[in-house]
Amino acid sequence: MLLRRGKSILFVLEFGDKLPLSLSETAVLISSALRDHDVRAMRKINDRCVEETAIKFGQHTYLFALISYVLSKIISKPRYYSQKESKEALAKILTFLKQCEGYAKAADYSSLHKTQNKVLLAIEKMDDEDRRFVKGILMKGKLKIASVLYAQGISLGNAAEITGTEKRELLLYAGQTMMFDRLKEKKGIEERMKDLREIFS
Amino acid sequence: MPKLSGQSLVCDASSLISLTDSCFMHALYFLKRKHRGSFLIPPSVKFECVDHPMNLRMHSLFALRLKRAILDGIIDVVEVPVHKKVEEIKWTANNTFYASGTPLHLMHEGEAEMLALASESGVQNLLIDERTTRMLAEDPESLRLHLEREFSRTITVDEGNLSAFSRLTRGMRFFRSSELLLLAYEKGYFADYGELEADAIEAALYRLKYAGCAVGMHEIEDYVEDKIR
Repeated sequence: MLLRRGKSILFVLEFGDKLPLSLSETAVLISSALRDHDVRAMRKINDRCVEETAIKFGQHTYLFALISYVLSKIISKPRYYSQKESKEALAKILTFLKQCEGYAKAADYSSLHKTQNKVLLAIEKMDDEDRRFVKGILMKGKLKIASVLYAQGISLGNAAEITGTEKRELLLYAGQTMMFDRLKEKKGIEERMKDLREIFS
Repeated sequence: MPKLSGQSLVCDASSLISLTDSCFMHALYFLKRKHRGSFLIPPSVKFECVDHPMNLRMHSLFALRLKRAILDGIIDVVEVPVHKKVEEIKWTANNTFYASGTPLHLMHEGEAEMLALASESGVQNLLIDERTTRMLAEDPESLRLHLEREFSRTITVDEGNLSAFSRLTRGMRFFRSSELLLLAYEKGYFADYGELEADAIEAALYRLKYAGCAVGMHEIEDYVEDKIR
């Protein structure tokens, strides 16, 4: 698989659309997008990771989806790569991502999981001045991914479980969207009402 | 042990969440007075909707509303041995649709437990706001087409598992909290709004939709225009 910097990442993501991304490849792509501050590529990676999560239902893929979502928000803010503390934090994240690549190649999924969580922790600690921003993005990222999974057709329970979100929060979030209008149900209100009136008669 | 009649409804966590979040838990109280059947939940739904959120400050009020409904006898917790059935339903549901040769894990254990309780207790009426489970039972082909659109790839079907799932859910009738509230409206739940009664039910339906009930805006608009206004 072609994995190089800059435009090549988008090439891989857009033209290798139907080819599944391995976990190690995902780690490399995220690192490349992070180094290049490529928001568009990071978002594409996130889209692919969310889709893979829905299909494979893997925790590791989900964590990469969350990492790529949060990083896409962070690198869209120039202050995060211009300040000294942030630069150090980003360097640390790149080191962890390199470790993720290694663990994924070695099929050491337990270490991969731990290191992915280290990435998230490093992201959380990134901004001492505005920790609420980063923490807020992490929470929003989980909810957004859960909502996408539910909208795609994964059940509420599964979407909530894999993302670690509360069903209530997910329902409230999904309720604000138009997802229920995009898929018309076979039975409408009136048909269900006929049956319900019968039960309560 | 509550009466498990054909007039009872097995309730899913999603519908109870929509009702409590919209402050319409009392619609269950209202209907219970006019109804011989029971509103039933398995222990896992009680854990999910009461025991677990009681420890979360943000959600504890909603948990309390449900706890009170259980203590008041409006909702009954039913323990029926369903483990084998749960596994059967879950496995069948999660091996029905395939994307690029990978089975799609559509259904959670909680949702399978609902269906299992309905099946084993003989109560064929389910109150469930969650969309995927309903569609898998009522209209799997539409769900398959939706999955194809969402994942931009062919979704294949294991016909054997699909038939098995259809057999497991045969005869089950699914309702949403929107229909339950409409029924309450028809029986006079919003009567004290007087001339604002129609406005009240319309607003209530939208509130339920925003609380996560899987009902579309157009569905509500069309129904209100045809049947209420």
